[in-house]
Amino acid sequence: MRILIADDDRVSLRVLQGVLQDWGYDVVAARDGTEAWGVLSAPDRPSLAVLDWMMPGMDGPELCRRVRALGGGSPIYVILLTARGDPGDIVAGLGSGADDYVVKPFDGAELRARLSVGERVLKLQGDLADRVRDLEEALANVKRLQGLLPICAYCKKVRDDRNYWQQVEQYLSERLDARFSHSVCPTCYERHVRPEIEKLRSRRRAGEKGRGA
Amino acid sequence: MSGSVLPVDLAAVLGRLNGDRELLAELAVLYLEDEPSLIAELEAAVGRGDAEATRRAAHAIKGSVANFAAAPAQAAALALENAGRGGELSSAPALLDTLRTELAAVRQALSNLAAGR
Repeated sequence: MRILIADDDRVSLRVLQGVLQDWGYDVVAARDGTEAWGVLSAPDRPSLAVLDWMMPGMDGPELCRRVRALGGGSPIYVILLTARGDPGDIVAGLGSGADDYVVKPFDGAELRARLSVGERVLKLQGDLADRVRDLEEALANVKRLQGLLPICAYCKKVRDDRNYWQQVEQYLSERLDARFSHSVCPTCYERHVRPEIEKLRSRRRAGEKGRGA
Repeated sequence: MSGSVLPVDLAAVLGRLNGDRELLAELAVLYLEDEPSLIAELEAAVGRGDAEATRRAAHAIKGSVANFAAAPAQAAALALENAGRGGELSSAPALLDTLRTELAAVRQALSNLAAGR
């Protein structure tokens, strides 16, 4: 998974890069806030970011605010690195749009655990987005069967939106995940099928009589 | 443990780096390259009595040496950071002297690492 890291201290940046690479991340390193913003505002931005709080130019919280203000785009999970442990700062950091924070110098196991929380959240967000897309597609299909449907009073054909008259079963099977199989209901059997059979039988009987004579 | 605190706790650092000695030596080189400009910035801030710049510069040094588990240097940098945050720089020159001494010890320890690369 791609991850952006940003720190103006070269040593801290290299530590973070080394550790994250050991854990299998594909690391994009930024030397300051401005460089980090260049990566974060690109369309193919990584979905995880670990940003140092205090950087000259653009600091971590400012980057978070900008990322959230950008809206849309791919989901992104941001962890702020802070050397301070003051609760007021933590509230400000999370208020700026960060998802989590880790106190520097970080404990490896803790950072790794927090990153896996981030990955879990991103996966949930992705699954949810897929589900919404599926539902929207389903909804679009349902919509196609709404509205006024002109039907012939005699033959029961219906007129589609391109002004063609279609058999009702053809019209529906084009718009539904259902197919029609032809059969005869008991009422129609009595009304249409039985008289036909009777007719055939009497014709056959008449034929036998004719041959026998 | 004796009462004396090591300038850098290499065992702790290696633990954090998954035992990667190559990386540790590389970090020592980076630090030794960058430290002069970090300390120069701090000295300039203290020199012109700029509390906010002092806080920032001391914070940067603290963050950098923290990577080497350099407790004494971190404490000395924190004292200057706090002085800057409080806007009270009368103690800054003395705190700066202490920090210089602690940083010299860090430099010494890291020079050996960088040389052994």
